[in-house]
Amino acid sequence: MGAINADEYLHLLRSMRNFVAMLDTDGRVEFMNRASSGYAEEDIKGEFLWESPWFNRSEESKEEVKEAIEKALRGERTESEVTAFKKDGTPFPIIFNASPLRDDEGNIIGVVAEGKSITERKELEERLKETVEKLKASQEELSTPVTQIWEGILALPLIGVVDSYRAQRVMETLLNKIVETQSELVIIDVTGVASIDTEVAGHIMKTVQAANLLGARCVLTGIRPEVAQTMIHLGLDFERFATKRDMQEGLKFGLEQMGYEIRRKDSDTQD
Amino acid sequence: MKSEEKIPILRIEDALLASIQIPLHDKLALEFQHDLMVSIEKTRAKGLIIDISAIDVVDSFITRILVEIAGMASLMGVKTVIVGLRPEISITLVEFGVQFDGIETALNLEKGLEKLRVWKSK
Repeated sequence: MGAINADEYLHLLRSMRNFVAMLDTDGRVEFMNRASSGYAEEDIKGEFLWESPWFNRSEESKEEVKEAIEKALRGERTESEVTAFKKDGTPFPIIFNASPLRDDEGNIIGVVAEGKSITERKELEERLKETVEKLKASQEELSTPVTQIWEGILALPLIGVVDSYRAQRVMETLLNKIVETQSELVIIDVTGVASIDTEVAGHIMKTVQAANLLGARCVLTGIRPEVAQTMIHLGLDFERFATKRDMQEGLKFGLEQMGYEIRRKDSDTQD
Repeated sequence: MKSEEKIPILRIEDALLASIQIPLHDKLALEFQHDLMVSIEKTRAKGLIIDISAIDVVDSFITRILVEIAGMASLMGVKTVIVGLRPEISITLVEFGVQFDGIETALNLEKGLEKLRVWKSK
């Protein structure tokens, strides 16, 4: 590829999405690839960049841009988040870069200033923050759902990711509930737990042991095929307590333990 | 010479009930174990219930004493049930990996007695 001429350079600069300007050693705008946000080139050309209508509406922005350009004139590259303003006065966040412009001998002959609008990114960040907050709140609510489903039987459906923090909360809530309701049996349902690793298994084991110490038994229900495989491969000892296919079997087991018998009302006439 | 502190041992149905309500120390613990075994022999009790709901801290010392009592009682053909363990204590025990080997636990006195009955009928 041969050398490209001055026109092509200009096209290249004009076609860039970001704003690029060349400032003289005082910080005045000598050249810019294009004007944007409602301004004409005349509004900006020849101005100190920080005094240009982009930034002159906020002391803070002015200060930051001026400082960045002074740094660039001393040979430093900087990058910062600055608030710029459109012609109608709407503020918008940009990433502002200032780098020293050097000649062939390496003397600083000006500053290259670049600006990139990050409005969308900012909005996304905000939305992400909101979503995370919401999720956290709902997880708090979901994290410890211990319910009494029969006199003396508690159900603990575990859903989602069980981390150390949550496991601790679950353990405390469950044990307190056991004592509060004097329940002898706890059905821990793990249908909603996507994966059980050594850590999670450890938490479950601890909970079961602590419940045992109080005098309550635990039944683990809803172990999924893949979970069953992992558990055996990890060599976890789940023999300390009963496991049943699902919640229904667990409840049936519990009721039988307590001396109940479950059968249909009309079953004696049918047999 | 015996110390003045004493843990009362009561009879309930055909079991013995002892509620630990004062802090145990070496000497008291030994006397407690002795008293229990003598009572078992005297009353021909079939079960032993130890209530620890008044204990705030269950350390390795108390655990060892309890495990020892269960062992001694078992040698004399008596089953031991610990009742009244508090949730926070059970968490601590599990966190520190303390094992109550050979000891049954129950939520309360009533359930403890029931466990003894089930065990007897086996």
